Amino acid sequence: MADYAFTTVWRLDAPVAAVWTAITEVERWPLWWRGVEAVVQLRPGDAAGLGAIHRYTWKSKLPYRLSFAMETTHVEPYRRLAGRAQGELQGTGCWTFAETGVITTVRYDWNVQTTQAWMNLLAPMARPLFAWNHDVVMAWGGEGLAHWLGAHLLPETAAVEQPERQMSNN
Amino acid sequence: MTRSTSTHAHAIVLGASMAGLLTARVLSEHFSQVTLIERDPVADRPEARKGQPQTRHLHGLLASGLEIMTRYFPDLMEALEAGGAIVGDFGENMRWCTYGGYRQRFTLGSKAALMSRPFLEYLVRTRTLAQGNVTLLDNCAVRRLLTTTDRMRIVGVEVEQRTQDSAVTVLTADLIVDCTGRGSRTPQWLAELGYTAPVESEVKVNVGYATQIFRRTPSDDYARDWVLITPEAPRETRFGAMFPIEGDRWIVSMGGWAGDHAPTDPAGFLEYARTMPTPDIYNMMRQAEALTDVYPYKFNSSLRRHYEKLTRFPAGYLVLGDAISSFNPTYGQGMTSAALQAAALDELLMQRHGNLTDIAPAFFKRAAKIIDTPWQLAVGEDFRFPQTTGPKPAGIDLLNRYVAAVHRATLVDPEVGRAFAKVMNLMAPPPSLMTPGMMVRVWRANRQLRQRRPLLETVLAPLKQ
Ligand SMILES: Cc1cc2nc3c(=O)[nH]c(=O)nc-3n(C[C@H](O)[C@H](O)[C@H](O)COP(=O)(O)OP(=O)(O)OC[C@H]3O[C@@H](n4cnc5c(N)ncnc54)[C@H](O)[C@@H]3O)c2cc1C
Repeated sequence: MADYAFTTVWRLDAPVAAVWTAITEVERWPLWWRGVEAVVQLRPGDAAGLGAIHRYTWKSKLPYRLSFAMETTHVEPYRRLAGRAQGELQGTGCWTFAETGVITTVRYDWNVQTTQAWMNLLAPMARPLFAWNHDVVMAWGGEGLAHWLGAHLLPETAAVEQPERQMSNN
Repeated sequence: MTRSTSTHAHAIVLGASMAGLLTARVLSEHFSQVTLIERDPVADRPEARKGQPQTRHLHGLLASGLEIMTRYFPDLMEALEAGGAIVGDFGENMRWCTYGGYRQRFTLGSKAALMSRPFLEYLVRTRTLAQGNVTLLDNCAVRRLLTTTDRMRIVGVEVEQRTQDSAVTVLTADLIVDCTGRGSRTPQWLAELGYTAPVESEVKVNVGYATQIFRRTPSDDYARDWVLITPEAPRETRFGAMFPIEGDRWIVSMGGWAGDHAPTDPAGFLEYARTMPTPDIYNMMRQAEALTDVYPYKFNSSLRRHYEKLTRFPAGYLVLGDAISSFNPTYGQGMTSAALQAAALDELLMQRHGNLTDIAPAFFKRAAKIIDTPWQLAVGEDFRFPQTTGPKPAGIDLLNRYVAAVHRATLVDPEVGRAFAKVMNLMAPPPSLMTPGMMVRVWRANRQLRQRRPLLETVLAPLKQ
């Protein structure tokens, strides 16, 4: 298995409630997030969305699609949203929200493994490529979210570079 | 070529360099009259003009560029060869040294052309002007645009004749295309007319080239090799190329990034050749007769004007070629990018049966898509040098790690070389290098190379004395 750990931070001049709504309404992601091809609900969650399962299909810079299902495991409005991924990627993803003055900071921590044999086999070669693809998709997400909310992505929000993301090869 | 069903009366093309000529050729299918306006006097022979100083330097025409030009000028390849230019398979002829070795040769299946840029332009110009409905007004500088009173449409240009009396004339047209190159004044003109100028991306590279031409002895066993040396950046900062061209000559261009410029005195230039990782260029230069001085060219930055992002743009007006984007000529893609843009304009006019309404956003969108690849390739290489500054594409350092592995893989696997050449020749999009199948090849080749590395060095060592 090849492990990947990514952290992205977006800072926007938008209220946390608006950002929270945009992020939690995952079925609408394809409307503003370039690279998200489809989000389909497989199982509804409770009133807060806990336990919901969605299937995500991504098509970005790489010449193939990536698909996985994600179950919501933690919902803490305006603060934290976490889930577990199963499929071509498996692992955990966690959104953390913070509002300071007029600025909302969203952080996404993505700790996953690739499950497909070829991806694992090629990890030494493909690692920078997958990481690049992730960076591009997250950059699109940040820009798309800002545009969707009529806000600005503040310049110092670029993805937190963790070149040595303790990426183990096996 | 099929003509549009509705033919407009008149089109004007500003600038009669490569982009302007190709655009005029395309528009001759859709307009009764096409007028090319060029600031320089244009002589009826191959000649580098003042307004296009880059044309003295090495210019290769990539396979897709040659293919498109041949579509519009069916006898171009024969004319090139008859004039002594070299037309051949890009993969079979290129002796390309990079990352400490030579790339494997392969068959690309499409031909590229090597010649002096003025010779290619001369052939394209004479054929464009032979079109019958294309006229060239040389020695005429465009000073400003003329609009309708509501400024919604560009209807003409004010032209100053550069003769003693500096007479000013006004020319009107249904469509005007700005092909005046990187120095295009369209951004200022737009602002003066109350439009927003396009956002610009500028990537500063501080590259300094120099070029010299030598006599070539056709009987030499290497006389038809196309030599190209590109650096393993950022460890190496210099590139060099030596191409056979018409008139039994070699054209040599060398240069360096981040201020490591090529000297412009012959002795210094020869010494610069000696520092290249292979001695191909140096060995030729040492023996051959120099036919010219060393000409310098400073390329400070790649520049892209994002016309595709504008929401307001006047009717009756377009911009094409280097006027939209000029990138570091690392991979020699400028003329091919212009040819692809001209062909896209042709296709658009055909699809719309010549309807010009709202053509600008549609054209700029297509042009942006064409420019994306050469821009990404050129700027991607540039950002390997830490001194490069400007808008850095997301994750480019990570992507460059894979691209470096691709470059290395081409030293042992001709299939990877072919895939890279297709991208470079603008025949395939960059993601074609990232398919699982290609990744396996790249990985295998790199593994093989690690085992062979010392061997490669022993092969190269005796070549350097
Ligand atoms: C060092 C170097 C090496 C290169 N090598 C290659 C290569 O190997 N292969 C390749 O494909 N490309 C190469 N290029 C790029 C290539 O030169 C250009 O992309 C190509 O010339 C197309 O440019 P253009 O016609 O848009 O503009 P230009 O060639 O810059 O021409 C603009 C024309 O407009 C005229 N003009 C300007 N202002 C006015 C005005 N106000 N009124 C009337 N006329 C005006 C000028 O006189 C000129 O003739 C290289 C570039 C450089 C700098």
